[in-house]
Amino acid sequence: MRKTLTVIGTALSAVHGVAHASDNADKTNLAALAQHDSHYATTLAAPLNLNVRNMYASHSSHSSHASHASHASHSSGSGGTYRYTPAYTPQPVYSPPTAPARLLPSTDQLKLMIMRVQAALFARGYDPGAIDGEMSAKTKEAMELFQAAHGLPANAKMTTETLNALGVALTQQ
Amino acid sequence: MQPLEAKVQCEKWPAAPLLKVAGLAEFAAGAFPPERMLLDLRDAQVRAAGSAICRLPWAGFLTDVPEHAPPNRPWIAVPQGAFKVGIGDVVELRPHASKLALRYRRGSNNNILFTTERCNSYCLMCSQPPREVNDGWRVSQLCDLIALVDKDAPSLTITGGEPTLLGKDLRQIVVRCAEMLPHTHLHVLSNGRAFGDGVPAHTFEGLHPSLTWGIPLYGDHYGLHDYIVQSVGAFSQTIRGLYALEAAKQHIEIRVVLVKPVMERLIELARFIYRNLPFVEHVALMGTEPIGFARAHYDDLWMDPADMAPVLVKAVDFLSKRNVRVSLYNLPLCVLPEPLWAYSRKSISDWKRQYLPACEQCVVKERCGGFFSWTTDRWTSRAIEPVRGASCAKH
Repeated sequence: MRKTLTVIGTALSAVHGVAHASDNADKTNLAALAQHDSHYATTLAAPLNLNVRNMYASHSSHSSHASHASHASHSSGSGGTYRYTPAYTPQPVYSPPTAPARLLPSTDQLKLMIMRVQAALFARGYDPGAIDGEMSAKTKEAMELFQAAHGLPANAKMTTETLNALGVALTQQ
Repeated sequence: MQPLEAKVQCEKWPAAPLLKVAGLAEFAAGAFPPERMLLDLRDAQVRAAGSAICRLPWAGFLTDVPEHAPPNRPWIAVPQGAFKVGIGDVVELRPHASKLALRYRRGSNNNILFTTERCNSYCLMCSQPPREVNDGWRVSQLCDLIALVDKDAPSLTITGGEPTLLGKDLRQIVVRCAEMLPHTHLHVLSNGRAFGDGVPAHTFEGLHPSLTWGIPLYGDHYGLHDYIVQSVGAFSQTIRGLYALEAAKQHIEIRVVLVKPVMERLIELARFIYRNLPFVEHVALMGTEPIGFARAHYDDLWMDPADMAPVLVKAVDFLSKRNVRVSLYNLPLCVLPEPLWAYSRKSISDWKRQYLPACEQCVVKERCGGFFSWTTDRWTSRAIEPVRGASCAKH
């Protein structure tokens, strides 16, 4: 009666990540464990971020974001206070249908997204330097290590594939 | 047994909030806003993550050491010996009473949405005796809880009381689940009487991608069923309700509690289900939970499961040969003949499951559902004994 869902999930990718970092004996143990766990585990039915526009993908460094500072005015947040806004903003109605407006995150949104990526890296045993929302050299290095270990292009960008592998969702409730 | 409510220390809480316990992964995943989450400072990774993360607008902090909570922010400290609160769980804090209650446990096999204490039946073996109280406030709280349940939770049980007494609000809860938890199977435990008495079953048609109604039927005859549920007319309402649910294309499970009077006509009941309710997808034959009204009616209800074996074998055989899926709940393996083991499920919720001293040497303990933690000697079968290796090898 219980509905079993299959597909890519954080549980699996977590096991994956650890397996890469350890030797062969551990790998076998982990595989056996994962197989055992699969009887009980529920993994997500689809990639975490399916059909969601990723406005963070082009941001590899926080400093480059400074050039978009004017976009902060588009944010629904007021001033410097932290506001929780959904990562995905629907396309504004006034934009011409032929050329959709490029969606850019607000400074707060970007900072929060970087913090979440840093937390995910840290939780998986990578060292992003600090969980502070700054795309530091150390964070980039940790991202590249993580990407390389998961067969992703090691470019330190928050691509949808990288976010999926990290278990970081683009949309929020 | 783990109590699900505990006295805690807490400070600076404004209202009675429902809170999701968060670690780093929950923050990273972003499925829930920090404002609804309780950051678990007891977690080594969270503590190692630095102070910037604490400055986010968390609802509050869970800690063993109140001094570790950031100044002027709400915190909760759960004392040793209280129930365990883990990352991913949802808790309800009543700050004025300093009480913390567990509302959702991540990874548990039986998370429930408790809809109401009211019921229109008064079953002899009811484990959750009904109370005539006005608890309509539960609906909005459940809708709030549903939003904080893990998106990959395999299943939730909607129970009570009698959930259909909520009227339209039950539909609202199901809709809310369909919106927030489309991958989570819903199991609604109802006596189905409302659907045989005017409530339109078709309002549930197509409402949820995966919903099963678990409906009890205790006899092939109204006299027996009405006696067990202590309500005149219940049998005909439930039967009409079953047909109404079938007409509304609902998935239906029949649940039979194996008390003495029911056992006496179990084979007839199996025939009745096969002939008259062929759309039923699953029949659960369940041992009695020795709590609530059941304890008061021991003499009328108790039958040693060891004495049930011949009838159980026949009934299970009858149904499974006719492709009706059948399962046995709440009966330890050692009281069942081995051919029935394949039908036995580990049905007792993890938080109320225990094993007896005899189970220590049993080779099939891992497969066995064990006992309700409130089982007493007189509710325990004389046939309890460790299953030895030889017996298992045959299987």
